[in-house]
Amino acid sequence: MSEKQWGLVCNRVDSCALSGAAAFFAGIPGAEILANGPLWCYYYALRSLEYAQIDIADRFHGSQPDNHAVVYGTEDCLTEAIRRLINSGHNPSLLFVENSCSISLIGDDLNGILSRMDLPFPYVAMDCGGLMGGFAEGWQKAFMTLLQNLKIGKMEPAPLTVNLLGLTDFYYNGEADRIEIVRILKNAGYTVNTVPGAGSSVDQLQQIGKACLNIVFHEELGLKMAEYLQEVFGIPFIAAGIPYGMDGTLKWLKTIHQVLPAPSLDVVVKEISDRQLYLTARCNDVRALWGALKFPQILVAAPGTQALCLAETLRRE
Amino acid sequence: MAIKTRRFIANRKSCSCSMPGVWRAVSYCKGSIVIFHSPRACSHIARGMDINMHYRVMADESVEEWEPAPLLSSQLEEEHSIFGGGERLMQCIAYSVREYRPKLIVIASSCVAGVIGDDVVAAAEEAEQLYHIPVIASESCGFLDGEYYQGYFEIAGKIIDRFFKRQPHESGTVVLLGESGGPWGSYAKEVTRLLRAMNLKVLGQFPGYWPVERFADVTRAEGMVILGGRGLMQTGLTRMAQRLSKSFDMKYLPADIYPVGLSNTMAWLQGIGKIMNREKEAATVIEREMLFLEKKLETFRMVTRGRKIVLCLGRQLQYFNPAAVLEMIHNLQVDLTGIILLDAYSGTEKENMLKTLAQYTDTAIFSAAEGEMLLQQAELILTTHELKDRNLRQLFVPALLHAGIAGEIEFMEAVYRLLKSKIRKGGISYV
Repeated sequence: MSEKQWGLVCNRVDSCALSGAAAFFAGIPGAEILANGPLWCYYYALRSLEYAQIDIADRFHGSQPDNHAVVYGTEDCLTEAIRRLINSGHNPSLLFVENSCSISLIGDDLNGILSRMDLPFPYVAMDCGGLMGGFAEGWQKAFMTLLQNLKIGKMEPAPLTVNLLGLTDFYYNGEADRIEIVRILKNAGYTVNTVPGAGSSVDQLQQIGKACLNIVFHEELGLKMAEYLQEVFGIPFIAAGIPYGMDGTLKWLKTIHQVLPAPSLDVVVKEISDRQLYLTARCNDVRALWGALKFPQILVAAPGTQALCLAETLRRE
Repeated sequence: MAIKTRRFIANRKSCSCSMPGVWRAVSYCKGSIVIFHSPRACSHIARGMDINMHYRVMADESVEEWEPAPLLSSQLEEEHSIFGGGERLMQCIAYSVREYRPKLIVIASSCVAGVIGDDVVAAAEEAEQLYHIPVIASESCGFLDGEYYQGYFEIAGKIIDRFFKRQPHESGTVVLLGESGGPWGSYAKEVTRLLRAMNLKVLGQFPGYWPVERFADVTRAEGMVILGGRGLMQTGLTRMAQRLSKSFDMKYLPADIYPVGLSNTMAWLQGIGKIMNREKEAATVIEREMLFLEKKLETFRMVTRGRKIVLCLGRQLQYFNPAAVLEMIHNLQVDLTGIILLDAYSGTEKENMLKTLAQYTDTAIFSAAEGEMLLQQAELILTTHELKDRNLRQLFVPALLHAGIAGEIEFMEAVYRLLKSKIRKGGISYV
């Protein structure tokens, strides 16, 4: 471990795996999440997700075990919380139950408890929390756990069909980025098969093996998933970053095009070219008023891939 | 249809974590550093609290005068749940000594460290012998055997044990005891304003806002002013004041009175005046503050008189006494059409809240199931919890209202502005 790692932790922004795993399942329509951990941890994760989805508290719940539960187990708190959900009319498309870090250590058999409850909806359960790491680690493990639960078989790939891996609405501007990326890819002639953890339903995720290419965006979220899907389903992948800026978007699309030629690439190229002309004119206007738009130093604070791609765009454009 | 709050309200033991409390006890003590013996993300919570406080202070057009203490984390990972994290903690302490040259190291222990069984107190003793720097460790582990306030008061108590000494008092000086948003927050600023008006000098605020090298100076103060709070904060601060009074002969107002709400502020001014021999000054301040308030009320009442308001309560009595809010409602001469008790109370808690409400008002009280219609007819809802229906105009009632007459006016002004506003959309406002 490098010495720098010990330094002031407040300089590094990262919520825990509990939030990341919850964010993955919050990206599945109709899914609900139950954090089996202290109220403090639940609220912390809830608050970090509320920035992106203001009503997430309708789907993200806490079992709130107290300190005795660490000695006697959390079964009572967990079953009470689930009964309360059912009695108040919740019927999720999928219930995700995640243990916080200290609860993970006491050895409660989550799957055993849930199977005894004979739940009227499907569920996925796993140990989670800060011991595992940050947001990205939780997100990745949530996806892996879901895939293993779905027990998907190998399938025939459909032409020009892609999965978008490592997109989340819970990153800064995440939802808007996802919508724009899907739009660009569709305009280029691709069919977007799934966007795991960012809009795809459980039924859609069952078809994840149909894609002929996986496109990785935020590598800290999607790269391991892509490697796993390549190993299990034989789907190749490409990590081309995130399309920021006009040149950046074109470069990104052309990188994908080299691996899987896009039938309507020219449509997107024309859109970018038109947009570029408009932006140049606008920038000229701004320069006329303010002078050269030059900043000697810019600090980019963002998750890995996002930071790199933003920095690249700032340098070039 | 029953009224729904935006977030589910549960009421159990262990609602919070001791680690942020430990951090808060020295958060702005120059010369100290804090180490969380925990997974890294736990420290993100303290960071969030720090940033929220920073913005709150900015919103109050104030400035944080000191830097927060560095916060480090031993960054426990899965392997440490098997092999223990003691060695990791010692490495982190060694780094902190080299990098920050602290005058005091404070260690908070997480629930994970508690379950693993790491002996943090022993590690602190070892580090102290090794580096010849005071190292204080909290014995609470996350949420396992204590909450926020256990961590906060345990560390404050250990600082008193180690650094405080008996000495002659400086006449006419006081120290503020407690948190309430720190010395830059509106609460401490208002209390300081009132104390200055009585010719009392505030030496500083403890715990959390006193440089390590000057810890011993706390007992120079002639008196202590408890900043207040409810529940564990109130109990803990009272105990701390009792202890300082007994050990260092410092004066304090023993009655459970804080400058929150009009009656309490007046009683508090009288009480402080009495113990600090400033009775005349207190009487003058009271007269001046009352005049100021009356003038403001005249303006407010032109808008608030007879307007329909509902009060929604979901907070336990141990954390919130509705007396001050009811007093403001009464002073504004609004039409309080009902009080709704949200689904947050157990049988006994509900009974206690009903008894307390009966002491201050004869307004009809409704359950969450009964109160829906009442809300739709209200022009403004004062509520302790954000209600889910965003068409409703809500004003959040905090656990502890802002202090003094200024705090009273600030809250009443918010009611006045919301009722005066021509914008009829819903949503919640905060004071």
